[in-house]
Amino acid sequence: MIKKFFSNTLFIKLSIGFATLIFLFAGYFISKLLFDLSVFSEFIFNFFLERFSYNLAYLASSIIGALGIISFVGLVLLIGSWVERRVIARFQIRVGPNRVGPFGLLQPLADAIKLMQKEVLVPDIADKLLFLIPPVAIFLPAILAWGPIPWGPNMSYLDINVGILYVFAVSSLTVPIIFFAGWSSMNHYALLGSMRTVAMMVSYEIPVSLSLLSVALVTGTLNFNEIVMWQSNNSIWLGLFIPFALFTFFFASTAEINRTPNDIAEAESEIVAGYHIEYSGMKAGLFMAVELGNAVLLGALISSLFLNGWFLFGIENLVPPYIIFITKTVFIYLLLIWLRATFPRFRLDQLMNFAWKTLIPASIIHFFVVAIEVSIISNFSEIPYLIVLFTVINISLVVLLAYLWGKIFHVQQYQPEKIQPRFAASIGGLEAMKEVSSID
Amino acid sequence: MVSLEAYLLVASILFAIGLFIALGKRNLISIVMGIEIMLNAINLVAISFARYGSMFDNQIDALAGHVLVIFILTVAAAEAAIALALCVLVYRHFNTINVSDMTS
Amino acid sequence: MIEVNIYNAAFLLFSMITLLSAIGVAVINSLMRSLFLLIISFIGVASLFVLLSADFIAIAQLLIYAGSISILLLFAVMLTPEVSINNQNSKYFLFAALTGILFTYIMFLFISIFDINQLTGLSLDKLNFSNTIDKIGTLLLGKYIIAFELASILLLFALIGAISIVRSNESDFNIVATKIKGKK
Repeated sequence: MIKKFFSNTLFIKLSIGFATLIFLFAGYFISKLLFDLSVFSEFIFNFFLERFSYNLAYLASSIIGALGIISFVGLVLLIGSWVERRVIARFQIRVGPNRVGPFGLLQPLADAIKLMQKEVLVPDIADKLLFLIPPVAIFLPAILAWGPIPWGPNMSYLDINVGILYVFAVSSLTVPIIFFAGWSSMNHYALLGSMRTVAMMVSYEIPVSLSLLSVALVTGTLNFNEIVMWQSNNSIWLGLFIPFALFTFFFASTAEINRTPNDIAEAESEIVAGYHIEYSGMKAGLFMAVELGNAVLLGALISSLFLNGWFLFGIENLVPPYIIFITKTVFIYLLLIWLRATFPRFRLDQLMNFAWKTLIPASIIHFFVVAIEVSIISNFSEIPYLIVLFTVINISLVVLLAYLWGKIFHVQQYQPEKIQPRFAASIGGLEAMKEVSSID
Repeated sequence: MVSLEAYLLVASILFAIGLFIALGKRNLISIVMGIEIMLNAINLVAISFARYGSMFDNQIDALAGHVLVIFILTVAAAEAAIALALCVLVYRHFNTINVSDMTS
Repeated sequence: MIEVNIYNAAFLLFSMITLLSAIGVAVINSLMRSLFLLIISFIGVASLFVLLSADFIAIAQLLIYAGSISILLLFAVMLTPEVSINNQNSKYFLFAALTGILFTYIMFLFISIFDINQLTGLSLDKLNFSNTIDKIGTLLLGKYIIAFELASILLLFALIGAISIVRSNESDFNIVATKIKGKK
């Protein structure tokens, strides 16, 4: 009887619910304690300041902050690959990694060990120095760009006035690294792949910068914290106020970080891998890891610039703000995985045409429109709800223009053929034949 | 604090290296690289005077150095684009970009 | 006497990175490696700008030099293949080295004789360099508006000029093809 009860699914569900409740309560109390993580660095700063010199205190607190960010990024790289594989497996009606550890959670670790055990192959004619530097150097921009991200109040590592420009400049450093990776392999395919990637990244930097410019125009600052505060002061999300900038930033950034639908750099199912074709073992793994980390970084950027950062309708007073921020980041990351699972890949010429003929002119026009709106808002500040009015106008304009774009350029809709394939009879027998013919 | 002197020393050494590269290299692209290094040294001088110079009364005057650097940056970008386009043209015409082979 | 603090250590580190990589650009024979060192040197200069509390200029340096001009150089190297891989010195390199050493010596003399340090120190406390970007913006669109517009026109001309120089018609391709065939 007791044995039967313990094996009951009801019992399992009850225990899971109970554990969740305990976890939530514990989490609530812990979150009360850890509401503001900047206390740690302040404590360390004061500790070193009292006992040693100012310089050592500065160094120690900055190293602690950097270690916090790096450990978060490393954790995200480990968990993210598991999440990505699991979620994509669900999309494709598979199970995904489930053997190593509970729910396959240790799979990334096993992968890393496997990659490290592999033989490190270096091509004989390769430029050895330039071949070995890029897999390590490509981590630098990916981690440096996390600096000015606002995790919460008092919780940004680099609270600088040029935050957006900093992220943009640092992430543009990946372009020469990718080029060197492709060139030093002394492989025609790698060189072609790297040229392809560089051309794509350089041309998609323009829409990214234009969309970020419109953000700076609306908020009047380049500081991440002030942008987040602007959104909470005006109680509007920038993603709603300028939805086209959000779209442009999102789409062009997927090209910048080589994610589907724009992952021409890899395109593993169509053309050979691209700039990292000659890399093997952990070096190829590092390129993959950076790609994943950049996807999470894109989530963090979008959630702070367009989705109001750590604010969420007053919940930020109950839950630690950085939890809200990370939740938004993970939401955007899941959106990216969704895109990867559903969308096909663009061809390179389609991608470049879309950048130069559609996205850049449209974002320039959008920039002018935003400038006019901002000047109207700043001149007629006595009229209430002007921002809300412009939000409605912007959203409706974007929807209308997207509809018109689809109409004018005649995006062909997928029409399934009426005649079903008839080879089912020869493979699956009469039953399958009946099933097929009962569909149409 | 490091003084103005140190920055000027670094800038002058950087300028000398750029001068050496621009004068003593065969390759046209290397020469362009040398010119870029020299421009970098000049930027460093302008910024260090904007930071440490005592001849300025207020911040706006001191920031003239920053504005100068921005103009140098734009001119350097334009110059690099034109110079490298010329390099490509020279390569098409002479089938080489070594300066010493172009005497004829 | 130079005191040991974090600013001086950072200055030493960044200036060493800049100068050593610049020397590497001059010394190393492979053009691609020297390009890589050139990018590192640009980044070093940008970090020196950070030490001089010119945040916007540092970012602009990173964007334009390390992000764009290096890409232009890489593209130029790729468009002029085979010949451009080496980065050898010409026969004038002794003269060039002498010029460089002479220039450095003159600058040393200048700095030591004229006592540059008398120019510094006064404005450090007076000027607040916490936020430069909006001041630079007002300067660019106020006092230096004509130069700003001229710079934009210059950029446009450079864009059009570079494209029109490099763009080749069919006959140019034929010439190149015949030359390559003749060489082989």
